[in-house]
Amino acid sequence: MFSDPFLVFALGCAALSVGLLIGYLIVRPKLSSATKLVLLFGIGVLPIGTAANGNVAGYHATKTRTFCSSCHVMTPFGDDVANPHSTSLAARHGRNEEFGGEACYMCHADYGMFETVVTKIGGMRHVYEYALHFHQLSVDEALPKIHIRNPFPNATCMRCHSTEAPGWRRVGDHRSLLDQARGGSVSCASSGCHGPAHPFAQVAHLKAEQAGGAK
Amino acid sequence: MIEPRAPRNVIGFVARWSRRLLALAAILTLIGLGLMVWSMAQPTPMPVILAMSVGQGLGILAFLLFGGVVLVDQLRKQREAGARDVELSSGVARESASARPPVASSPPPSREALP
Repeated sequence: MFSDPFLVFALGCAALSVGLLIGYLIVRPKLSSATKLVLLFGIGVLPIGTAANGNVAGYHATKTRTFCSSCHVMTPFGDDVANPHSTSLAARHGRNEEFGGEACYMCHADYGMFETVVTKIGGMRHVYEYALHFHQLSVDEALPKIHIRNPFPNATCMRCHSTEAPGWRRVGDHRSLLDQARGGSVSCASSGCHGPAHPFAQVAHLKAEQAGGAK
Repeated sequence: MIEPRAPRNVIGFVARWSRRLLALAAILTLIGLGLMVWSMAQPTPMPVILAMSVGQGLGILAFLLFGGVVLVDQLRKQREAGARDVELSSGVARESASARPPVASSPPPSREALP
């Protein structure tokens, strides 16, 4: 927790501010210049320091896998990525040191011009969905209903897998589908290729479909 | 329509309530800080969202209250200083007026006495 310097600074500012404000509330001195200065730090400067650094620390926190899987319906996804024996596409990428504890964000972030803002707005939609639709459901009930909103963009895969490496080109399917893969008309994470990234969710979807068909 | 005396009333109100308003600002800041620290101690969606919305909103409100009280205090002091200046200058004018001989009653100097 204290390895993040932003967090340490934010907590330090908060502690100082709390000390000044509690002191003010106990003593309740007259509004002299010294009181104004103390309150300027207690209400203004130090809380602004806490908020600014807390925002950065919060932003870092929202990128972590533990944050994503803190909503109970996301735990199977987080557990699968953390499972060293899992062979799912997500888990294999999660074992990559570059992805590490931020595996969800690395794959599901928007990498456009307004990367962070767009991703965070999408995250707020997740909160809305969770609060209104998924909060009351059990994991088994929720899994068939959880689906990716838009098809997974190949551009995200191509940030690392450039499609230019000779090893990549040696694979026949890669060679034959090069233009489609680059254009996004064939998804890297589709069932016939490397996906699905979270196979247990696919199984839950299929089971739900079969159950729906049987009814 | 805004009453012309309204700003003075607001200044009077804020001046009377300044200590309570400052205490309120301090309490709001403490609540906001509590939410922010909670989000850092437990970085899960709800605390983080609360800290970044409610927590910061409370902090901004508290800072505005503080700024308002300080501004009003400054205005009040300026007005008091202005009133004192007016009183002083009118007092000086009265004193000088009473010390000066009555100009209208004194006879004009006689030209005959001059060489």
